[in-house]
Amino acid sequence: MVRCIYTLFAFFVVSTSSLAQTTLFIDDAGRSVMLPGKIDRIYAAGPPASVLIMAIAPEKLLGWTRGIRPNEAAFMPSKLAQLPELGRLTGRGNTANVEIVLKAKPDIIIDIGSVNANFASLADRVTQETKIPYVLLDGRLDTLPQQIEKLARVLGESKRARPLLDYVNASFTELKSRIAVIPGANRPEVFYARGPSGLTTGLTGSINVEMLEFLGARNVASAPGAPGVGNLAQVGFEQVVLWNPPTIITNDPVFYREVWTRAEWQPIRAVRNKRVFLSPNLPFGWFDFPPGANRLIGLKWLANILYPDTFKYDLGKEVAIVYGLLYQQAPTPEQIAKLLAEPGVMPK
Amino acid sequence: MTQARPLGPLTALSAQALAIGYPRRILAADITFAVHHGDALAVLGPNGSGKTTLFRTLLGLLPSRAGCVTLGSQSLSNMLPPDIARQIAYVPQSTAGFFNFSVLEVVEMARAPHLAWFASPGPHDRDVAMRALTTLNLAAFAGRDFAELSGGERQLVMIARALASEAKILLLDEPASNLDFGNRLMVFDALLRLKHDGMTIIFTTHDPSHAFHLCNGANDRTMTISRAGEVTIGSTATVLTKPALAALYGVDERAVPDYAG
Amino acid sequence: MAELENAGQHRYRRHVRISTTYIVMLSLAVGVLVLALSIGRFPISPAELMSLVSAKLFGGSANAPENADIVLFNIRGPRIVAAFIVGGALAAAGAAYQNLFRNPLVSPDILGVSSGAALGAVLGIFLGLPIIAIQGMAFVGGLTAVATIYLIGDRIRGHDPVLTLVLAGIVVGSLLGSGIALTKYLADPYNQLPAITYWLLGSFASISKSDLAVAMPIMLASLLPLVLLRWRINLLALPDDDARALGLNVGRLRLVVIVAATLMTAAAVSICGIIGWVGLVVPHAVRLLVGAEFSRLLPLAVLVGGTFMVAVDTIGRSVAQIEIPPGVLTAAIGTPVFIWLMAATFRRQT
Repeated sequence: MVRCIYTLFAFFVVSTSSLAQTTLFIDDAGRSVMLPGKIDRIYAAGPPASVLIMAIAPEKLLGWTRGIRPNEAAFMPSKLAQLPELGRLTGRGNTANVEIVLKAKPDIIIDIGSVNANFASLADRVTQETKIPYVLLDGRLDTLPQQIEKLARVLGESKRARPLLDYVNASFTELKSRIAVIPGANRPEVFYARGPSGLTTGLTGSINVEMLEFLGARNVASAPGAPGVGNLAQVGFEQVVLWNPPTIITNDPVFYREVWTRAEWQPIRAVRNKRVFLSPNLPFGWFDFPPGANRLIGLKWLANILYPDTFKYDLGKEVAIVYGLLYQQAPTPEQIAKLLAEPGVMPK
Repeated sequence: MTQARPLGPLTALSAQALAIGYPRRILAADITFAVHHGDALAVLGPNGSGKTTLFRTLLGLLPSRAGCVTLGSQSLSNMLPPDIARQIAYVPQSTAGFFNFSVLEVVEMARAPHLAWFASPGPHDRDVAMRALTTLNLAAFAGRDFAELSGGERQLVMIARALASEAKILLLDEPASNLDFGNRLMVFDALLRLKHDGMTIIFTTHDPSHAFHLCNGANDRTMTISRAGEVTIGSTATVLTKPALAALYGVDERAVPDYAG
Repeated sequence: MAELENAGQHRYRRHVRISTTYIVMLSLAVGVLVLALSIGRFPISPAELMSLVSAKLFGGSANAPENADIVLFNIRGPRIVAAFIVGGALAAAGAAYQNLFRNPLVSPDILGVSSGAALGAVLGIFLGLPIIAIQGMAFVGGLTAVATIYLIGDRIRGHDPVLTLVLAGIVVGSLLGSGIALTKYLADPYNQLPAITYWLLGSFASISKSDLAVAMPIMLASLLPLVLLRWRINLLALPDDDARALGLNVGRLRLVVIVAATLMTAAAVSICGIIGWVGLVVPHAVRLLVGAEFSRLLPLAVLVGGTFMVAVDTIGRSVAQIEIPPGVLTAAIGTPVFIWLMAATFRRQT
């Protein structure tokens, strides 16, 4: 009899909670977030979150932290491109501009990136002040499938996210399995040149060179834990000459232009063999930033460059697929050709 | 009360109907006097009456508002600053805050009007500087740090600096105001000696006894400038009477000590 | 008599101390330069170094690993020269300004040249301009800032022209600082902001021969007026009236010193970013050693500033794979040395 009452009671609690329409979700920072039953308005707290929400539930995206420029807008539906610029939520020194959030009136805030205690406490604070649930997901590259799956679950769009998830899983599996069999001696060395002088680089273990590690390449700047600006560090010319990297990746067009003429760079193997590559960045970068799902196409691009005997992706085709999945618009053949024809994108 | 002296070849510095002050404020006007080589002139007056302004005008640092100043035979307004500096030397009141220059280096600075733009003092300049120091019995201090000297010693070094410019006229702004009794004696002794050697001494002071002490010759003069801008020039005894001093400083006549006695 | 003898001894001792300082500093400079040439991430042994140098001077091939000659003559050599000249220029500008403002707590930045140059460079990075444009904007920015401050000081002729300059410098400098902060805020946090941060930290890492070819003549040319007028600059330490009574055109001399110091500092900042401390402390340290007389102070300040900067840069570029910013090292190494120097001097004086 008592058992009967307990069971009835439990059933009653469960059904009332589903009537109240909230679900409990544990995000990647270990925080318990009460998700609302209906999510129609999403505030993306940074570019990685914006990219993924654009891919899975674009009509629910409220705006961008940084407005879309005209050359970026050409790669996405105009409705998306014209979404307002809402501004950054988290500023320098961990300030959160809650006015921005309150003005936008989202049902939920999604942030994909670092999930350390700092950001967790910031998320808690924002929720406290605005009463809006805040979900933090780990943004590391190799957790991309989990990001997609969890985000889809949170937004209730698991079906819509299926094609993207399948593609990512398939790509990851293919890349990892084929790279795993390449012996260590044949793993390529890469120098990541940042900034106009090219003398800033990402140290091994930093988010900036995740792609290199994912692809099993060796970052020449392997001084882990060394102090720098967010794991970036400055190096001198002598050190670069000493490393003599066979391949250089950059996303700075100024550096790319000047590396061919500056005397100090000429002794480097990468410069002599014309293996300096400039990452495309429309509508979002292919390497390093923003550190989100946009790097997906970059993986295939870089795989072609680093392992030319193993990977021979048809980049034109891959760009069409990935852009369609992520940015809701298949690029025209002209757009693709122009993207790939930019100097520094394709190996000579 | 003015006693005009005839101008002549012995005139070191003279003023005719000089008005001193600033564009919006004239401090004193119609000042006429002549100082001959080897004379002394004391200038007294309450604070703010214009003593320093007068000096700055006589040095050419401030334009005269009316009238003119003559240095030797040339009008001051026609002279270049280095020319003025070669004839008339300024000994300032305060001597604070030098970097660690040596005494000799400080004195050598006075050689500037004699040196070309890019030149540095040479052996001759060093000699002149050392001689200036020796005249004031300061030769032993030549290598010492200027900032380490006492107030009186520093003041004497300033006088030595003025001598090193080989100017014949010394303009001293309250040369003994911040000094103790002993240092004051030192300074005025030195000034007396210089006067006997033929230097022209013009100085400001708040102490009438200084005027009596230094400007006691027949040709020496004392000038007073009142707060209202009235200028009186004459022999020291005639100008610095008890009633005059009382009126000048706004004190009771009975409080004024007897200087002329 | 004994007094004069004492004085003579005093002067002699002072003379000896000054000559010794010169000799010691000169030998130290040579030693540091030679050491700097032999130290670096790229290993070049002393034998290889000699071989490379003689091959360069007399022709023939050097007995050294591949790329060593490019490292030595295109990378390490220009960098050492740049460090020496920048260190010397900052020290010279600092010494001149300390005289001009009659204050040993003054650095070359007091009239805003560093803030102006920083704003120019930061804008250049923000706009994605080529490196030479960034350097050009830094140079122009520095000159513009000082010109503005000088004009403000000139228009507002207060009682104390020097104080007016300093106040104008502080105010305009902080305005420029807020401009820099605004640009940092608007900058792309992934790409531009780190580049801006690194530029502001200052570094000799990206110095190339072409940079030196433009900056060096400017710095040397602007050093020339200071050298020619080295004795007259002493007079700027006097109160204005004193100096004018000695026949000096104070305003004109002050302007010449400001122009010269600004040109050399702007040129230095445009090629290596903001490096502080040297311009403030080196002249002060040298003054403790040899006194304030500028014709003696200037060459020694240049020598000490240049040597110190080369030493600091050599350490910063060799001890680890990544570079240590020189601004960090100048303070870290210089502070204990300076404290020791102060203690030694005050002990001597008492």
